[in-house]
Amino acid sequence: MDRGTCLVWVFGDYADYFQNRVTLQLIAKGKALASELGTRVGVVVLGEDIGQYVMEYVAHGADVIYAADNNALKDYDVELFTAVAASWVEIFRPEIFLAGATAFGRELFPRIAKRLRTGLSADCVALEIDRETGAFVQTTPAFGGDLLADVVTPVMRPQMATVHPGIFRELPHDPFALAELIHPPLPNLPERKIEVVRRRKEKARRASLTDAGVVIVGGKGVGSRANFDKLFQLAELLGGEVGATRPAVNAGWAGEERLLGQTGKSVRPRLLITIGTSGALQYTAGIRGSETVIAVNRDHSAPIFGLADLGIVGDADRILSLLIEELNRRL
Amino acid sequence: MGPPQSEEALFEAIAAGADRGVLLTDPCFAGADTLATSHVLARAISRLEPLPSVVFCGNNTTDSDTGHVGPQVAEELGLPQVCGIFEVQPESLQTLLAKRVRDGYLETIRAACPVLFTVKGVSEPVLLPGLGSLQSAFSAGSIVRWGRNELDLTMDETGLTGSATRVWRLRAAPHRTKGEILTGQAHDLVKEILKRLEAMSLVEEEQIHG
Amino acid sequence: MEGIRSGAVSAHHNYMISGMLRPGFLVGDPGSAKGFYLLADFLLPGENTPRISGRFFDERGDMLLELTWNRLMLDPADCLYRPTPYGFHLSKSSGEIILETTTRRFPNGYITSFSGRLYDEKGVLKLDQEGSSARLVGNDSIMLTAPYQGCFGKEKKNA
Repeated sequence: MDRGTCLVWVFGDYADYFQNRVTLQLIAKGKALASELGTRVGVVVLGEDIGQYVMEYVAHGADVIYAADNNALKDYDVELFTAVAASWVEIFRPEIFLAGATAFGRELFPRIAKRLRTGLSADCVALEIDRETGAFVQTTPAFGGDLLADVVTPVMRPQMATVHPGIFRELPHDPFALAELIHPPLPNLPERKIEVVRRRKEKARRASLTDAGVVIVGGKGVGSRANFDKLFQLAELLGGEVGATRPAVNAGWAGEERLLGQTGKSVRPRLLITIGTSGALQYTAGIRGSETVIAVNRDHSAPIFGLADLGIVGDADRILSLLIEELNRRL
Repeated sequence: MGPPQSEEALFEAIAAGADRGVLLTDPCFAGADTLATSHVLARAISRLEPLPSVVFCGNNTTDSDTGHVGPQVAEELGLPQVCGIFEVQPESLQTLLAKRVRDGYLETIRAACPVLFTVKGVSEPVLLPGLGSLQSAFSAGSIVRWGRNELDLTMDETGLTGSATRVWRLRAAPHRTKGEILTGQAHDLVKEILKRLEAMSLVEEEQIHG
Repeated sequence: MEGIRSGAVSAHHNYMISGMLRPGFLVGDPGSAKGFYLLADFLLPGENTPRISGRFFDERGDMLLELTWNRLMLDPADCLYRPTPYGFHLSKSSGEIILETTTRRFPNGYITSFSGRLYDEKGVLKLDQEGSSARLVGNDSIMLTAPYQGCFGKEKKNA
């Protein structure tokens, strides 16, 4: 196996593995970046009984694994993981350190970056090595998503970034893969000060909107509260959640927790059906991450059609009712 | 923390029930990334008397959506953090129970003070300030202003010079390629929608009977 | 570097030994005529049963058995080899465990762990048990990152 440096690191976030594949995606991108930089990609894995995740990361392209398999690290803890990751970074001095922008990654990485006094960019949509300057350029959405900011960390190291799931593509599983395995020493671990007392599966609407794979959004063009309520039927039929624009919320058809956009939530579903929405920037800022957008509006010149993969010019309520009828027929 | 006019936000907070407000304002604070911002905030919090037992932070501001400032303030102050809570109750003299939803699970979390929380998913304010209370907050003079000198910060620790990241370039987001726009009879349009849903495996293909 | 343990890990199958995953390992010399050795061979994708070979002795240095690719070849002490749902079980005629393997299956890979104690021909402890995990005693093991290509004592004699 290649010895040599390993200067591109990825944090191994294995919670909900098999659904949550962002670490695999970052290993693939990290490997490409490492190749450009003449180094290798390593994955940091902390926990207890983590062998199967280590092997998955190896199979998906990791050149090096930095692991601690220890009862003290059994459950995710921001302070514990910060202590370990920061101490290992100081031993090995990677140039780049990436993590998925999962809920945990988003609260772990800023803490590590602060401890190391280095820069961190959030929710990157692109990572590149600039041809001319050799700088590691981290691209994040800015100003509600209408602009992209190319961010660099000129001096401090490592250059840290979190990346949303789905931006990069994982490498196929290779059972023949071998990697270097390193168990660095653990620093003195702080005591756990946070305790998860109870954990139960919850279909709370608040959060599942942002995690939903299908989102149905209603705007003023839906017409009435009674019509808006039909969106819930459609959502149920497609296994999705319901969102609303500011005018619909102001009209009292939906609560503020369903608001999407600049002052509301951002969603990144596989499918977004947006009905009776004109496409104001304050709204579309919250839906730009959607994979597929189907828009329904009575006005063929509505700006929303500039964002839609399929645009339907028609009466919102009529289309909605017919669609629900059809889907019910097929049950 | 912001330019002088951000004072308004503090008046609203006082009118809604806060006892005092501190505005961190100084021209050299501008242009800071979260590293420098959290440094100024942490320094200010450490100067409060008495030291707080609990620090609450939001997740986003109008110009920044990283959610990083809370954890970075917690790190500098050496506080444990619980992020994304929507509810918190005192449990004992020294502990709090907070609730959040994470990855589809409702979690109840015990934290010992002092602790920092970031809050998400609370949409209704508990107390809505009325015009009268806003006016009295304005005239009460319960806001202090602290700048670089009051916080004993050097120029290097703040603003752009205190930041580790730089915005190198701003550019327009590439336009999504427009898809097709269809007009016609509602029934036909709905058929088109269904075709797209079938292609995405969100609905079963229609079984042709008979 | 102080305090850093390093090795290799395979995507397909690893042994858990001395607190680390290893694709394969070897203690001692299988080519020797009479001495202790323990060979946990490297498995290629498609192989999901660990291949264990070795010559094991008791605490007094008396020979117990010789195993070649999981099969008892020599058994002077009347030991018992028993397959289990997750591996195999080697025990003395008294019932005392010599070595047991347990292979855990994951969606895309396998991890084999050991329990038991092994001694060499001088009665020196070579494999120890610490709680639920097995540790190699001493620093003389070799890691394998490919299937073992060497020969065994018997073959050498015949060569």
